Amino acid sequence: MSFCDHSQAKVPGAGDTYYVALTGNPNVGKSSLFNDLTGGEVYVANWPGVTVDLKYGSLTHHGINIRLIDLPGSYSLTMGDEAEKVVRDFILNNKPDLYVVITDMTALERTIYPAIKLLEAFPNVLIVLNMADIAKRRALHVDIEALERSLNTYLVKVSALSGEGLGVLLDRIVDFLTGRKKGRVIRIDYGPLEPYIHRLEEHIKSSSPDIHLSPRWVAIELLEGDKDLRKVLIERFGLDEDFIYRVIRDAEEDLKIDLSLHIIRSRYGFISRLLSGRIIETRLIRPKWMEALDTLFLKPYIGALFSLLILFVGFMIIFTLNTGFPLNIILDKIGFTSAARMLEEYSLVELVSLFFSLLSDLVGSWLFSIDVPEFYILLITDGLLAGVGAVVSFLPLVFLVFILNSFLQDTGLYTRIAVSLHDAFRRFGLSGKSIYPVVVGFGCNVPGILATRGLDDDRERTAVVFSLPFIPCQARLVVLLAISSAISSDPFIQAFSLLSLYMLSILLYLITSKLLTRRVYGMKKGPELLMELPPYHSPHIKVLWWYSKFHTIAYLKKAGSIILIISLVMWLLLHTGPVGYISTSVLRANPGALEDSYAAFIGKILSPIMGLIGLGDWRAILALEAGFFAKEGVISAVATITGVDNPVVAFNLIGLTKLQLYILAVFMSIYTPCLPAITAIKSELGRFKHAFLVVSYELVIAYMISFIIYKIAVYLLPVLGIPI
Amino acid sequence: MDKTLLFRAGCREMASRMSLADVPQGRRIRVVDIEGGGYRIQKILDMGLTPGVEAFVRQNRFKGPIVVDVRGVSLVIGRDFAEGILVELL
Repeated sequence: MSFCDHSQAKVPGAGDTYYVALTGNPNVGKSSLFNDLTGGEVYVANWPGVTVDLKYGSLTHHGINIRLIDLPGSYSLTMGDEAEKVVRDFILNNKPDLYVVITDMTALERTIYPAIKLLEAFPNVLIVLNMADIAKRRALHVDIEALERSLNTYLVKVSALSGEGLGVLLDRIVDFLTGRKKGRVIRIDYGPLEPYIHRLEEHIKSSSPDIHLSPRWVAIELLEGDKDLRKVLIERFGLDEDFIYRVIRDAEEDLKIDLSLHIIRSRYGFISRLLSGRIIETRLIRPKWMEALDTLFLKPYIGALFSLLILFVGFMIIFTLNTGFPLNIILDKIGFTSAARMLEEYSLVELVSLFFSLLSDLVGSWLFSIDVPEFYILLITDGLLAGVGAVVSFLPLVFLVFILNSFLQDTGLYTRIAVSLHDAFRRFGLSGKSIYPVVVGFGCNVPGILATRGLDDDRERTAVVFSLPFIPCQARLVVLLAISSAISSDPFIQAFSLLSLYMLSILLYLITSKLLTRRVYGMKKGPELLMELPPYHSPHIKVLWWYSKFHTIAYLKKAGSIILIISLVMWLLLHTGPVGYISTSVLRANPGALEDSYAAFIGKILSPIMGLIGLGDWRAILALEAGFFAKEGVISAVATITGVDNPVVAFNLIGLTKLQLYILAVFMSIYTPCLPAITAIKSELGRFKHAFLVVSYELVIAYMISFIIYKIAVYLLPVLGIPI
Repeated sequence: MDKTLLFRAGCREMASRMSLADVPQGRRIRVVDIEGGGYRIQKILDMGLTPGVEAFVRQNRFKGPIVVDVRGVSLVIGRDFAEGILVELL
């Protein structure tokens, strides 16, 4: 997919594909415009020099094939956050035929900044003035012809929301691609810096004669940029490091000014002069309710509580739709048992599982009718179809979580929530934005891990992905509820078991993220708060739909096949052994036959190690093996082993003491993320090594903590007169 | 007003200059200087809060973050960070 070096001039005609890159500040409606233009048919691909997959879509206008690349929204090209790094790497390593920079027409002075910066580097830059509908309502006028003359490019007014102006935009894009319109690099006067810019420019021209960007721009970036950006530029264009730093030092010593401050200020000065007298705006009056809402969000403590309330209500709705939880438990406790059951029966997960059990019955009886052996029938229905069902049953949840995510972002609420919780999270090396994945994680870790895409800082994102599996998800809650009920019928002891495990998990989450950000990344505190507060918008259904659809499909593609394969392997481990296939009829007659399976065999090998934490029994280990696939698998494994469906009774029959049951609960909630979560970690951090690291770290922590609790309890409980 | 801060910033007229963190809400200001270095400074400059620019302090409750309207957008800035932004009242 490289298109770095297509130096020969293209003759427009059928079959040619032109590359157009979309960029701009965050919050200017870029994604929604991208979806408008591509019709929502979005793909991901690798681009030369860029480490992250970028979205692209294809379209054809007047017979010209256009491939549109969606670059992430960014403010600058420094190494500060992921988005900026991606945009910088793209610009330095790729040469699209045209850049389209999206600006917010109602905040042109700030949002035109990246367009001006690009125009210094590259001649073909088209500027889109988005939010034309809002500008019209506010009686805001921009003298577009005058700006087009000054910048020698097109400025096109559009409304990504209503679709107004898109036809004109496509015509103008094609004008550039066919060569009917030729852009020109702009030149901003940097005053006293000019001689130094000139010296660098000459050096760049001689060391990198076929450079695809304006040498003057590279010179300016060298002066303006931080150490990292300078290093990247020097390496990319093969420049002489000593010479570059000599010029920079000369400039700093001769002029005694802060170079980046001077350059950015000059650029904004250019923009002010450019726009002065060309924008007519009646004074902006913000609605009272917006001011009131912002005041509330920014109040210490109260703002944080308000944010948590919004998130709580949001997730309550999502998780209730998905599994009935937690509304079913609340309804059950206040006496509406039948309503609670109905909520569970008609939840999305139940409907999906109903569909798959019907499907597997149908397939099973058909295979039976054509005399397929029981082993293969069950391999297909219990192994394969159940695996497919597991993948599919995650889709509604992933989709709903992304709907809420894009709703919060689109309305501008996400920024406010992040701001209100920033101080609390900063102590643990995180920013306020990391609340969202954590809250999602309490329902299910998988979409929680995927939701870290909203975080700006790469290191913070890794820290959250790494520590998130400690957050006890709903599946773990179900197992914990069953175990704590099996430990005792005393509600006080039940509550103690449950709460102590939740506290332990949250503590481990916080300690792990603190350790990572502080020890590994050397960040003393989380990032200082600096964000743009976008105006409140009503959400656009179209945008929510596209955003959520894209991320759900991406999850399906990345995680689906792995989950499927491992679920088949798990089924084989549990249902076959050295003696061959262990049939269901044998198991039904004698649950102890499971002892001959490979899974039990592995359990017996691990028995001496697990014995040190009181879990030497192969049945406990087999349950934990099943929990690796999905945490609720612990319950079904215990049910199969004992031949009893009621999980509380089953846990009592498995032959563990109360203390051992508690240790089982501790170990189960920490020991490893479930398989789909591991797959999500792999897909987000990009490497199996990282996923492996997370699993090993959690296994070690789980073992250590279980060991400590077990040893203390073994000594302490008899002293207190409590039987173990 | 923090005198050491003004001294460090090396400004000549001490009269109306103060840290952004100390500006009461509802006042117009002009940015004089931004202390420190590195990525955060570069980012706030790129976001439009450059020396010389006029801005409006939309919210400052002397606890928690500060909201500043500048170049047509609202920025929310943490208190620690705002301490290092030197402004004059208009």
